[in-house]
Amino acid sequence: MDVRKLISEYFESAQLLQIITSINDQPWAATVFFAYDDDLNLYWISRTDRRHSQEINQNHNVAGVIVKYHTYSEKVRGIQLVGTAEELMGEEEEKCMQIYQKRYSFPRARVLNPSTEDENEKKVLYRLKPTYIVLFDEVNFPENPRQEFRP
Amino acid sequence: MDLKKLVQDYLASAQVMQIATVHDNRPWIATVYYVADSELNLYWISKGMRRHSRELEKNSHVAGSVVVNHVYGEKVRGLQVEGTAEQLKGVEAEQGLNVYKSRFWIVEEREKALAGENEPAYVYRLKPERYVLIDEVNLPDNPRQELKM
Repeated sequence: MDVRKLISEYFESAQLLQIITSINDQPWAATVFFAYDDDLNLYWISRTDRRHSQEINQNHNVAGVIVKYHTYSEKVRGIQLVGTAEELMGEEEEKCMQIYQKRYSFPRARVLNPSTEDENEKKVLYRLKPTYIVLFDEVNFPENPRQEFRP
Repeated sequence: MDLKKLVQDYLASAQVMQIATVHDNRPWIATVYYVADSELNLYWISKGMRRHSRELEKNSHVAGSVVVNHVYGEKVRGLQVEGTAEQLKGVEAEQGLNVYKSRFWIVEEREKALAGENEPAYVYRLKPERYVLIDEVNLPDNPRQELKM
C-alpha cells in the first residue's frame, strides 16, 4: 500500500479540517473547509479576528485532524498531522488561492474583500505545511492501522 | 433558544470528538468516541500510552471539537470546547465507565485493556469551562454563541 497515495485520496474525500492552535500551552480547536496541493499542504480561509487565526500569528506550530463521519461500529479511518501554519500574502496568496478556488468555486474578491467596512471581518488564506502525518486506517491496514508519513 | 439545550442536543447528535492537547506549545490532536453527562462533562476511553493521554497528564488544559458531517455550501454547525481533562481513578473511573457504557458497548479487547492487560486503557473526563456553538441553522442572526460553565 502506498501511504502517500492513501493520504492524498483521503484528503480528496473530505472537506473539513480541524485545526489546533496553542498559546501558553492552552490548545484551541477550530473547523475549516480545506483544499490541498500535490505536496500535501493544506489551505483554508478564515477571518483574521478568529482565535485560531490570531494564535497562528503568535505560534506557527499547529496540529490538524481530518475525520469523516462514522459511527462506533465502523472501521476507523482518519488523519492526524502536525506542521506549521501561516497567513499567505501577495503573489503567494494569489497563486495558492487558485488551489482553493479549484475546490470551492466562488469569486475571490467576494470572500477576501467583503463589502462590509468592518476590518474585523477581513478574511485571509492560510497554509499548513505538514511535517508529520499519521494515517489511521483499519480498512487498508487492519493489522497495523497506524501509518506514519513524513512529507 | 436555550443554549445549554442546543449544546446538549448537538452532543447527542454526534459520537466522535477531537481532543487537543499541547506540550511545549506544540499542539496535538486525537479522535475519540465520547459520551456527555447532564453537566456536559465529556468522557472517553483511551490507551494510556497514546500521545494525547500522556500529554494531558502533564498539562490538563485541553480543547475539543465536535463536528457533524456537512459539505461546503450547507449551513454550518459546530461545537468547540475548552477545559481540563484527567484520567479517572477508583470510584470516579467506575462512574465514568458507566456513563460511557450508557452509549457504547465495550469490546472484549477493550475490557482487557481497561483491566490493565496488554496496553492499558483508562477512562478520561473533560470538564468544560466554555463551549462555543456555531449554529447557522438555529441561530441564523448570531450563530456564534458562548456557554460558560
